[in-house]
Formats: sequence, structure tokens, C-alpha cells
Amino acid sequence: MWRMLASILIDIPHFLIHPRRFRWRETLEALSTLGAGSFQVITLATAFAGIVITHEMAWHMQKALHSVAMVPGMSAQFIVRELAVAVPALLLVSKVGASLTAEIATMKITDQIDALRLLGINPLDYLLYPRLIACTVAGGALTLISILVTLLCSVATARAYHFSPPEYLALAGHFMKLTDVIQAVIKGSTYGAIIPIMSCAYGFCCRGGAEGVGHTTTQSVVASTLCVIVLDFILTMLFSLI
Amino acid sequence: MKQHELKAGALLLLAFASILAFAWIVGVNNPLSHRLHLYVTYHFAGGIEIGSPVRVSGIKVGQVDTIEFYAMQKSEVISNKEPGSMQDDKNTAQAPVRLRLSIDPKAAISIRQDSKFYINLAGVIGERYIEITPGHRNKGEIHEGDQLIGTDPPRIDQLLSQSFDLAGKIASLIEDNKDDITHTVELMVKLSTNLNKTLTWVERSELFKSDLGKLVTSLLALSQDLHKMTQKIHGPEGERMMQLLSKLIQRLEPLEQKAILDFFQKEGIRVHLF
Repeated sequence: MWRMLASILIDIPHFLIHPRRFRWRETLEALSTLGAGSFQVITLATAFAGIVITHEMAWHMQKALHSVAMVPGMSAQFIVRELAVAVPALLLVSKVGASLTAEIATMKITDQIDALRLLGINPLDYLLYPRLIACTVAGGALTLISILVTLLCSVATARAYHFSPPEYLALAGHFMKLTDVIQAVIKGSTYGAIIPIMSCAYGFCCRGGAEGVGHTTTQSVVASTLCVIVLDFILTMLFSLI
Repeated sequence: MKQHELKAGALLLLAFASILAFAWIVGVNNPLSHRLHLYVTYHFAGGIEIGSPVRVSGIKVGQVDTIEFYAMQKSEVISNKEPGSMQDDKNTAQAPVRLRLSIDPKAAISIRQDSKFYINLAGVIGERYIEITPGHRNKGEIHEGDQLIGTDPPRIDQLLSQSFDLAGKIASLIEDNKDDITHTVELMVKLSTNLNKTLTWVERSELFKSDLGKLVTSLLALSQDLHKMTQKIHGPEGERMMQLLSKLIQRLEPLEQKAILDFFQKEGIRVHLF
């Protein structure tokens, strides 16, 4: 698996400098199925996460500081910097990563990947790169959308603590900066890119029958989740230095 | 294929709409809208940051675009400083901070050449902002790219440092004059003890209690009499009396000392003449 992962990572720069390998049609299809297809589950999950986090922050601030004045600023910043970035990424891992690994692993055990090679098609060009580009774009786009949805839910929840929407947004605006949003998009795109790389690396190495596909899918999802969490730590540390 | 295109397009469109929403929330100015730019110099920017709001009469009308260290000309001096702000000296006056403010042209109408640019603190999070006070009508209007002088905010660190200096000087003064101060304090203690004793005596003294009223009444009567006398002296009656006394002295002057002494001896009065 590690050899496969290394060969993918080595091939990516080659792909970037050879635009002929780019498959527009497959990329658009992947963006639609993987990105737009995950829209509902991600918005629903992050919306509830926004409600929960606003309530939790208000409860803790009331308990510790006897004041909820900082709730809009703190919750907005937490949403933009972490919550609405990590939650969509983990959901993408479980939804897209699992389906990609299962698809590629099934193709591997049914020799469809070898068939592609026989037809003179590079399996990476056909299976990985369209999904890689689609997931990178979808990761950034879904992060932006989930931030907006989560913030709107937080605004609605903050009404329970006597914050009107303009008041909430004005206070949140003091804490939030455009660089926070840009950093969130970079994070989201990076996590999005990790998913197809890990899925393909595991899928291409699948062995055995149906059991092997299940085992590979589980391993891929676990590895991708860990990668997202570790990358989240690294990127957060890097951005905090800026 | 068209369905895929539609879905992908909708996703990207939503993402773009989200970017616009964030830009509105964080207060990014529309790059296409016309803004008036001013340069304001300070010695001490007091924690102002890029993007900090600019207000005129409390209304947000713009923001700080850039902050830069600005090499001042020798003739330029930042004069209108608040107490506690940095003092002018050769080292600091050469490198003040220059802020570029972008302001809504509608609000710029009320800003004049004599407007003050304060750095203020507001809100529960202690947000820094620039407050511009509208100037006088008879002063000139501001124009694009004008260089103005801001009013430095009070420097808490400098005030604290000055307080420490003052405290040190007081401590050294006390240390140098320890004996004198101790002596003064001892004297004051004695004085207060004596005063306390006197007051206690006054409070307990029956004589003082019984005669105090009479004494006060007599003093009042005496002062009233004196008042009447002085009034009479200043009046025509007093003048007549003074004239009589003057005549009497004039008549007595030619008399011999011996005759005067004899006269008083006969009357049984002992006198001594110089």
C-alpha cells in the first residue's frame, strides 16, 4: 500500500505539468456525484453542529463568566476556523472515501484495472485524477457552504440568548477575518484531496474477494480519517504562525 | 451529462455566494465603489490594526487600509497629543506611523482640515477604532490623498512608567529626610496629644461651661459697642470730638512740665512725664 501511495504522490506533479491527461468529463461527473451528492448530508450535519456549539458556548460562558456577551464572536470564530471545516471533511471521508475505495477495490479484484491498462488507459488518469480534482474543488466549496449554513444556524440559536441577527453578525465580524475564511477553504481543499489519494492507494492494493473489499474499505476510511485529523493539526499550527 | 453539469455548477455557485456573504460579514469594502483615501500620522498607533473601523460622529464610514512606518520631514512635528502620549524627541519624531484610511465620500463632507483623529476603544472585546470629529465649517475641506495629523492615544505603559518614577522619587525623598520626617511626625503627634488634652479639659471644665456663655455674651456686647464707637468716630460727632481733643492738646503744649506735675499732685494723681 505504501508503495502505491508513493507512486501516486510521485505521479501527481507529472500530471499537473501535463494537462492532456486531464479528463474534463469524468471530473465534472465526479464533482456532481461526490461533491453535490454530499451537499445534503454535510449541510444537515453542520447545521446541527452549529446549533449545539452555540448552545454549549452560551451555557459554559453563563456558567463560568456569568455573561453571554462573547457568544457570537467565539462561536463564529470556532465555526469558521474549525467546526465547519473538520466536520465536512470527516463526513466526506466516510461518504466519498468509502464509496471510492469500494469502487476501486471491486474493479481491482474483478481485473477491470488491468483491462484499462490493456486498453492503453492509465488507471490513475481515469480513476484518480478526475476524483482528486473534483474532491479538491468540492472540499473547498462544501467548506464554504457549510460555514455559511453553520453560521446561519448559530445566528438563529443566538436569538435564544437575545442576540438579534445584525447584532450577532456585527460581533462575529469583529472576530472573523477574511483570512480565516481563506484558510478554511485551503484546509477543506487539502482534506478533500487526501480522500481520493488514500482511497485509490488502498483500492489499488485490494486482494481477496468481497471480504477483501470490505476490509480495504474499512482500512481506507480509518486511514483517511487519521490523515484528516493529523493534517488538521499541522495546518492549524502552520496558520497560527502566519 | 447535463444533470452533472447543473449539479456541479450549482455547487460552485453556492460556494461563490458564500464568499460574498463572508465578505459582507467581515466588512470587506466593495472594490468597485469609490472611496476617499486619507493619510493620518501618529507617534503611537495604540493597537490599531488593518481593517479597524473608522467612524465619523460614531457612525462607521470606512476602515484602515494600510499601516506603515513613515519617515517624517524635519519640519513636520506631531503636535496635538494627549497627556501621557510620547514626547517629541529627535529619535522618535523621525519614525511615526502613517495610516491610510479609506472613507465613504458622503461622510468626508463633514471632515475638515481641523478635524481630530482619535484612536478609541469600544465594545465588550475592546475593539480599537478611529473616531473623527467633524471640523469647523470655515476650515478647508479634505481631499483625496491629504496628509493629516492624528491625536495620539494616551500611553498606559508610559503613564505607568512615569508613576513608577514618581513613586521612586517620593521614596528617595523620604529616605533622605528620614530624621526630619520622623521628628515632624513626632511633633505632630505631640501637638495632637496636647490638643486632645486641651479639648478634653474644655469639655470637662465646669468653669468653662458656666462662664463660656457669659464670656461670649460680653464679647458680643463689647464688639457691638466698639462697632458703634467706630461708627461715631467716622461720623460728624467723631470729627467734632477729634477737633476738641486737638484744641486741648494745643492749649496744653505751652504749659510747663512743672506746672502740670503740680496740678496733678494737687489732684492726688501720680504722673511721670518724659
